[in-house]
Amino acid sequence: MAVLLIAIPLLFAFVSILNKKYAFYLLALVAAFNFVFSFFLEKGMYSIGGFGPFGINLLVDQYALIGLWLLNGLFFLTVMINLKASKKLATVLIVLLAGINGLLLTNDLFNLFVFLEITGISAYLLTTENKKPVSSFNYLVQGTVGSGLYLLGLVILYSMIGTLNMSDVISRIYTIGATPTTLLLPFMLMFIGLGVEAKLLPFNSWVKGVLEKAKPLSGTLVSSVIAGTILLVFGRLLTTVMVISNADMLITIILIATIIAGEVAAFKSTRIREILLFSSIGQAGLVVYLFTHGLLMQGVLLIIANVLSKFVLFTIGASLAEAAGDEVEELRGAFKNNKLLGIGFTVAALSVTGLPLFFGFVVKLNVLLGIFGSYDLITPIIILVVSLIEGVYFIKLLMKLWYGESNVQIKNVLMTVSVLSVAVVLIVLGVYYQPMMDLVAPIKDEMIMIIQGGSF
Amino acid sequence: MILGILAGLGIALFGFTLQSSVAGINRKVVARVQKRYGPPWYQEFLDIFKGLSKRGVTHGWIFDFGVIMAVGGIIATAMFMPITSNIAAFSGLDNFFIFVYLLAVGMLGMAMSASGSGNPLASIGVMRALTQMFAYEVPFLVIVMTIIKVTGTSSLVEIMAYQGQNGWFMWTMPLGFVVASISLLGMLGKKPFETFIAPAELASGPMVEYGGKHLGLLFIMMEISHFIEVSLFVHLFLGGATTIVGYLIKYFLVYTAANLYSYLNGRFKIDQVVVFFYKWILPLAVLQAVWVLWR
Amino acid sequence: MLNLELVVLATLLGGVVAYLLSMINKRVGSAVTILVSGAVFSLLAYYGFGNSIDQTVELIPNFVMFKVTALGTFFAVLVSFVFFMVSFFNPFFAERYKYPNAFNLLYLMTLAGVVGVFYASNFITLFVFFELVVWTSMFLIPMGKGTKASITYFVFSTVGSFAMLYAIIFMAVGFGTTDIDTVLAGLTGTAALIVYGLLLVASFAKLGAYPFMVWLPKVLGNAPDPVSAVFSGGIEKMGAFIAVLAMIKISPASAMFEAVGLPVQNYIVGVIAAVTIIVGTMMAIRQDDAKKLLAYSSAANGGYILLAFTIGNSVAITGGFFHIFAHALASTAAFLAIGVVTYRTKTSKISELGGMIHHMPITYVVYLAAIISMAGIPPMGGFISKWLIFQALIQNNLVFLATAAFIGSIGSFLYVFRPLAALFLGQKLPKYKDVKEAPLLMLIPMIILTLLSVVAGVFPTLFLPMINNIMTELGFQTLMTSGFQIIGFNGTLDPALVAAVFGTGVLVVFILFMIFPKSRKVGLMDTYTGGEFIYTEELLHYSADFYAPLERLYRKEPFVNKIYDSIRIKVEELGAFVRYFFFTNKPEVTVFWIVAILLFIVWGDII
Repeated sequence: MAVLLIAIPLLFAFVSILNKKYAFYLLALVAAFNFVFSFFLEKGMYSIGGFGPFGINLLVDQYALIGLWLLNGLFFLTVMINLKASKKLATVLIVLLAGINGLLLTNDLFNLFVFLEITGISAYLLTTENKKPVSSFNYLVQGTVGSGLYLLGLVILYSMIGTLNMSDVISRIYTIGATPTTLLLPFMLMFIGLGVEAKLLPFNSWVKGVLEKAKPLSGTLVSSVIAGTILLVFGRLLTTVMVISNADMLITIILIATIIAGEVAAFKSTRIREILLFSSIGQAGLVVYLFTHGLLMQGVLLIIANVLSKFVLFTIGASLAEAAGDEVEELRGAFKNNKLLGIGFTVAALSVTGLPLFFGFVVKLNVLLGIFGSYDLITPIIILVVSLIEGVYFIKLLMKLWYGESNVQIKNVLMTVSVLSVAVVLIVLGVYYQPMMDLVAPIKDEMIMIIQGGSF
Repeated sequence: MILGILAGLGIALFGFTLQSSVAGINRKVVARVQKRYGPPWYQEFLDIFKGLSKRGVTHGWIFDFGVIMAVGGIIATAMFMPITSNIAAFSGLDNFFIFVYLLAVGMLGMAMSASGSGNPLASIGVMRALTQMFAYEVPFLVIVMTIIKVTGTSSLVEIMAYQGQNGWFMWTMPLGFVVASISLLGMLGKKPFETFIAPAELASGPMVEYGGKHLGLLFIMMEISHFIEVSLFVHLFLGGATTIVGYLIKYFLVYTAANLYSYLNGRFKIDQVVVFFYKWILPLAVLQAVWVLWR
Repeated sequence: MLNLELVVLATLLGGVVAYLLSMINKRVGSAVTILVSGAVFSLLAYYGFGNSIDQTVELIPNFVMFKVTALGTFFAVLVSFVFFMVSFFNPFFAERYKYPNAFNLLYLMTLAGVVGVFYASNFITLFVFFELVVWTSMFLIPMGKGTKASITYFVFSTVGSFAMLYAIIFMAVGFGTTDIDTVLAGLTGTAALIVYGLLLVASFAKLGAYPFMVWLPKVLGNAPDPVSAVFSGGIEKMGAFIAVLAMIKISPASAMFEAVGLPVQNYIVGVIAAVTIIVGTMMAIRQDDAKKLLAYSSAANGGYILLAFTIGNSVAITGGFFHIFAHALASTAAFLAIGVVTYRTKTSKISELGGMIHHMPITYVVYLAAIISMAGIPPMGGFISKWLIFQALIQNNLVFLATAAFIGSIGSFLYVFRPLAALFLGQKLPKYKDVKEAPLLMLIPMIILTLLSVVAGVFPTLFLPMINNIMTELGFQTLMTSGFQIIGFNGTLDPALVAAVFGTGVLVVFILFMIFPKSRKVGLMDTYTGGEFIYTEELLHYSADFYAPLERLYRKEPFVNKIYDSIRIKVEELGAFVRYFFFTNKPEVTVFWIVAILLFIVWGDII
């Protein structure tokens, strides 16, 4: 049944090519269907085609469910908010939807590669709406190199352990008795491959080009929905599949460098979209750091918080930039006439900064408790320092946007409503966070069961 | 308490009379040094009563109120001052810090009234007076802190008693004595620390707008504040006195010495005053304190 | 029984109501703030001092837990009183804000946060409410002028908060709980020193101690006047609260500084406090803007509070608490008085004003009383606390710290006098000819604050039971009193007697004054000018560069600001470097890095 989430979009994508006039309505229909249907899924492992252990499996556990609900929902909202842009790119969007669902559901490494490529290509095509061919081309090249590396690592791995089924990898490794040293090469190749898409330093020079002039549709999708998907996939791989403990120091250096670089680059920026994109980079580094250190629950919480906040921030930020210019100096006082949007933006920004009453604070507290729990005393200092830098540039941004003499006015009711609802969600979750905690609690146990037993 | 207040008022009156007489005698002494005859010893009283009996001008309610507050504050301070170990209005409650701060009330009142007159020269004079206070007060406080810790009490009467048994602080804390003497010169407003009046520059500074009863009252205030300052010095460093004669002698000697010394000096500029006190006097005071307390 | 959680929630709700009502009518919204903060104060005071506050929490999720302590009650009542008094000014300033609805909402949210901080039972609650206050007050600041001040505030506040957060998580992981009393009592050894240091960093950042002093003048100078008053009288006291937690509840055992009888780390804190006092005083002396001057004064007084808690015996700690009380009253009154001036004349720069006393005499008297208290002159409350602190300093042979305290004390005469002489007194400038006295609703809180200051100074023993409860709770001896007298280490103080004697002196002089011939009233311009004819008031008004000779001696001292600018520039440079190297338009760079990392892995030993 879960396969419907992938199959229906693919089917309708083909249909929409044939029937350009109704492409948008198909898009809306499919997006709505996916969102609703994802609530009716049952957990379990679904074999496609019944080819036994050699075939493609789909895995629906709590982790996947969270991703599906969240990302399908936000996809639908983003598409509806940006009607005009969506109409032009309807087919690509439907394919993207298929790719995202595929990434979240799959339990097979090669299948993952396929969906990675599908998502990647749709993303490249999406970014063409920015009318910056060079940046899209860069994205294409780097993305392809990345997935190529992933494929290489995959091939090496398969030749070593003979299976591509994600839940079987660990048990096969034990059976064969492969040492971490030999496993290092394939897994690092896969890590780097995914790292390109996940915006880790030093593989992320595409991010600036693609997102700095991003329109509301592509920008939000890339920075919120696609980023969330990739990070969730990365997380699953890091936790249940990859064995990279030998490269611990190298990975830590890469990740800490990502976090610091993202935040200081944002500090230096004076353009609203640049600030947001560098902030995403920093947060992505933090998420991967959490996953590599086994803090699964905190990683998922951070992804959820980031996806929600970036949705709000990028939608509003890109709309403002399109309306009045990218430099923050030109946007001074933009919220004077857009108070509701301003409130939404402020809530999301404060959540990212980790101030209380907002979900981001709960997340940050859990993150710090988790890191401290493993008796690491230096990393929390680094995280707190970059949090401070992050807070400073967000507050600077907020102050400039609220106090000035701009006449920008954005009239998009659906945008306002959805942005405010997400903001309200962030506030509610900041105070009554217990439901969210309950939601992510089963993840760790399920993952362990999968690794040990191959099913649950 | 009523008895105490009446006794205090008596002490204030006594102090005023004493200081005016001593000042008058000093004018004669200085005159003789300068080979003149000098005015009679009761000249101060004549000046004050002349002032009080004339009609002056006023610049508003704050002008009057400030003068009242100033003189009232000084009289209140004087009421606490012990003369000898036996003659004191509020023995045991005459905390040293009360003196410091009530003197400040007096100065604040005069400052308010001077600025309220509208004459900028008065404001400048007040500014210089405050800056000067900033300079001389701190070393003095450090030395007195040492004395308080050594004697274990901050009541002047008890400090006097302690000195009676253990020797005058003039000998046991020589550095402190030097610091206090120089601070005393600053407090009295005598050269070289006459900056806040600066007669030739500021048209007598804060006092420029006063005439008639205001001037008279302010002269009373000055006399009583000199009385307080010299008495403090006598009690703290010269062991106070157990008899009134001893007190009078010590008082006269201190005041005359300060007065004569001041006539040998020119006048410092105000920033020179501050630098002098902070560069030389304060370190001496701190050195004395450390020497006594930390050994 | 008063349910504390209801108080906090009701305040937040009141904020929302104020926001909604403000959209209809700004004054009504501001009136809501007056009512709510008044209700909070009265309820807390009535039930708090009657020991019948209920601390159970039902509605808010379970990470928020309250505990009613005498310490918390003291602070909460004091700060809510300050908020209540200042809220009377809100209706008048409402039109000047860019977002008046949000102002009322944020005002009450800040109040709720502050009450939450003082009654927190575990550190997580404390931190949540602490940060809440940070961001709600941060948004209040730019409604005055300029937006840079709020960023500075955020930076320094967050440095403090994060230090505290690190300490909290450190303790949480170590002890498994974050309950304040359990955790603080259980700390030993190096852990105790680390937590002590971190909590003190948080306290320094909030109080504006050196070297975090930079934000105070910027914020209080640029924020709207009610906000400045609330900051100085209320929010900074959170820093004092954290200092109490750090210094009094943790007692890290370490080397003792024998000569003064204090542990070494306490002495170091004392030195920082002393430097704060001196720097604050010297900076205040040279300020031209009255609000910035009062801001530096707040910083210096924060230094006094820290100094008191550092010394750590019962007299000193009582002095510290009394100083918190007296300073809150005096500082709020002073800021409100300057607020009236700003309200009527739209400026608070001393060099542009003059002769205000003739237009607003009551405001002048309020300001005079406030500065008398801040300078520590009897018969006001400030004298009592300074006396107690000096007692403790002398008792412990603290020569250098006492010198700093004395410098601060005398210096305070200088800087409090500057606005008095140049702003209120002096010539009446013609451009302010039509300035009137403050409206009645503004006068009421100022007069109340003044009267309280006077009562605190003349009958301090009335307020001592409040502080004695805290002392007993913390395990110290209470201050010895006898009737209306206070007994210190080396002397006895009878404030009522001092006030009575002062009154007698003034009465005697007043009688004399009346006896002598009446004076003739002349105008302010009719002064001795040495034969010159002057007709413009500005030429006869001495207000700019009031302490010029003194200021010249240290004009070039930046004290600490340059360091922060250079830090900021370094971070920006790092950002530029990162952008240049890693975020280019060339995919070759990425490929290069990939190849480099792969080579690193494949070739030789991997760490």
